[in-house]
Amino acid sequence: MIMKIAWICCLALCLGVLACSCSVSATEQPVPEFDKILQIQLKYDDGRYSLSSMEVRYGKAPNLNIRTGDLAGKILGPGGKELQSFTVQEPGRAYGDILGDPEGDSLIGYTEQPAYSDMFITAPYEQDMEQFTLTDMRDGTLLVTADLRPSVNVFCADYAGDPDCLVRAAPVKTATPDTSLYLVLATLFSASVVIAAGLAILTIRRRTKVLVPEKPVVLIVDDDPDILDVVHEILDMKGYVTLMASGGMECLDLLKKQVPDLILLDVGMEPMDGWQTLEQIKKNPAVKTIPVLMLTGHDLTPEAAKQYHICIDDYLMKPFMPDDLYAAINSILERKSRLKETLALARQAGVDKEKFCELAKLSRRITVDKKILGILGAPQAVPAMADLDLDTLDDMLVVDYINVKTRDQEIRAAQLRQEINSVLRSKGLPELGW
Amino acid sequence: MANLTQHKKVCGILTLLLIISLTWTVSALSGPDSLTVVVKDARTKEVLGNALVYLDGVYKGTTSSSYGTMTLPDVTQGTHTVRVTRPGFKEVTKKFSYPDEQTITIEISQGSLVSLNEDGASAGAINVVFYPSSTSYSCTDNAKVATPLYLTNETRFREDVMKVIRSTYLDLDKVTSPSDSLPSAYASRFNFYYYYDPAAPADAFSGCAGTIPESYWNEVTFADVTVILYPKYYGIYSNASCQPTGCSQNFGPGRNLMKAPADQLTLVQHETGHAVFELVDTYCGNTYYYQNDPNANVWASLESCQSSARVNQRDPGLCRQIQKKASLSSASCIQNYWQWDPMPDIMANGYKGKYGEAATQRISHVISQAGV
Repeated sequence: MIMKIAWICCLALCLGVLACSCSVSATEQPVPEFDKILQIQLKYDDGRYSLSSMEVRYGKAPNLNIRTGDLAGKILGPGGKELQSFTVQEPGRAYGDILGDPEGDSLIGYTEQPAYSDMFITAPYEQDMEQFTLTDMRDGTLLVTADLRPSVNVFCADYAGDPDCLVRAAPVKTATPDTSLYLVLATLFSASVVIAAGLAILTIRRRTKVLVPEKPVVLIVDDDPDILDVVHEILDMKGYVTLMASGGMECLDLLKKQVPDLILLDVGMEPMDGWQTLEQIKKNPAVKTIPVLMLTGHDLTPEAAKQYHICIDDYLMKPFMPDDLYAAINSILERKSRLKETLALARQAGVDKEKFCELAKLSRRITVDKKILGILGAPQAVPAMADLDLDTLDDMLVVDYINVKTRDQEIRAAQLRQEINSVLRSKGLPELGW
Repeated sequence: MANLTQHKKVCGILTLLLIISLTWTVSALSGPDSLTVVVKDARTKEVLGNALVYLDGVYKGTTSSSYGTMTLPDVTQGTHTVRVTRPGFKEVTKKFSYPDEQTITIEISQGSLVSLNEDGASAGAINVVFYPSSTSYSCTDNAKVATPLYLTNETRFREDVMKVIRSTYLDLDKVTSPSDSLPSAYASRFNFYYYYDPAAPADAFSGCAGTIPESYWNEVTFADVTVILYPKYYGIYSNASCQPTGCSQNFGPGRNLMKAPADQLTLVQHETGHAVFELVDTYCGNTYYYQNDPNANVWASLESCQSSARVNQRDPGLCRQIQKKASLSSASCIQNYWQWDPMPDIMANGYKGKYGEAATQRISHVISQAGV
């Protein structure tokens, strides 16, 4: 009897939900859009092509199949399956025409074929796309190949609920009955009644929501398994998701499959040390934008500082306290997130992308360089003038070099900031806070 | 009596259950675990209803028309991405951390892209976007000059765009040969737009085909060709040192650029031949010649030209080498390429003519390929 009345009440309420839902759908609703594109930017340099950037984003693509040319672009899926193919001409080739004498040469031609140019490819997003290739059909030369998966992963990290990302996240589906929305609503509601009953019986008013923390993924790279464990524990305590690699090669292999939000990279590893690993990471366009925090038990040498200061996002000396690590990670990730937000604003305002990117790079370099100068400039790093030998003089020159460079960068950054802020102000948008 | 008491108890428990369940539901919808998204017009700062809100890629619904807000229940702790779109506005994406931020205000700006198709854009059609130039050329000074014409008068720009669209696309049958060989309803195979932001004009005289601010390319990703239209030259066209120019330059799919003067419609048609239909010049001069298969209008050998003519029931005897005799003003010229289309051919002449049969076949081919 109780069950029967409960079901009747439940049904009545479900019908209420249904009626509500029907009245909403009866009015004209805008259609959500999930069209996505792959944007690839290549650099053409006197016959050679290299990858500049790659991004998956929301947007619409042009018609690829109305173009012809000597270069064949292909988007490949698992096992090299061809998902999309098109042809294009070399970038920047210009056909110019000047009106001439109507009775004589009515058109006078002129041409341009730049030796250096950017090439832009906008293609529709394809489910399961994994690789892009560009081939010269005249001689079969493979000009460019790019792994598309990191870009798709980055997109799906931001838009995990996008229909295409959901399909990627769950490629193998078990056979499930085709439940209608109403049935789902009814089930959810029934579940809520049951939960509410449980709460009533227990007379405890608690939240029923399950918190699913979305923490950044941190890749820890160290050849000492004990350090790996300790750093993992420290990060785990704060709920960070960690990936671990016990060497440079393992790190590079792992980056082919997964894209972390941050890399903690130990300097003193063998056979490939941290600086060599860093070089390889920064050479790969698909992962070069991942921030890298260098960890080391040794002092930072001025030589390494000079060579790598532009590649790293922060530097932490071992042993460090957990709070130092949290602070460094938070600072890097906040900088990245702040940058993305302001980039959206800058795009909206029509700020010149190159200027914005230059300022972003300078801003990061200035922060890192100042920190490096702090380490190098500490009493233990640079001895008193009386103790100077030739090596130390070289070291001091490096400190001076970074100092001068930082000052130049600060002047340029201030100039760029002023220009960008004036565009943002003119559009009524907030100015850069960094 | 016992039954009645039991019944009352049951009803009491059920009522309690329903109240608790409803309380739970309401608290989930607007309680402390919810996020409020406020959407405003970036220019007027007024709230905007009917904006589509997506959280982490999931469509959540639209903002209320009265308050421009939408409340999202059950937001989990952590970093999220909210995306807001609204027809006629530029979409905005913002990352935020919940619960640090429980109210997100998103300002969206009116888009600058105006559709010229009465029934809206057709999927798979060729997308042609017109862009106003803030520069033209002075025949008096023989130099590039800034011109406010299009930047201060959108109506004038729109009228010039419509004139170009009519002569080049909508009346394509009048400039092709034979006129019935175009795909049926060919005019509907094009989507026309113009982009109007006086604060971000194009410069038709920077580079061969001109330049457009980067913000345009970020916003308009789907253009098959972007046409920079520039106003008539200042002064009088006198000689070769001051004659209108056109140019077509392709930087990859989605970045195909063309410039042309609004007052020289045949030159617009000629550049459209390059930029949209990939036709090759048939005049003899400094240009790129190649056999633009399939459905070429220029061939790399006499045999190829004749073979194509035979296949397409055209007279192979009309195949001829691209060349010109010397004249008072110019030297002789000969190219190792062959043409079939009769003169005056739009791909050879800047003042008059038609697209010949070979060119028309290529145009038909391109139009029928769109959206396939």
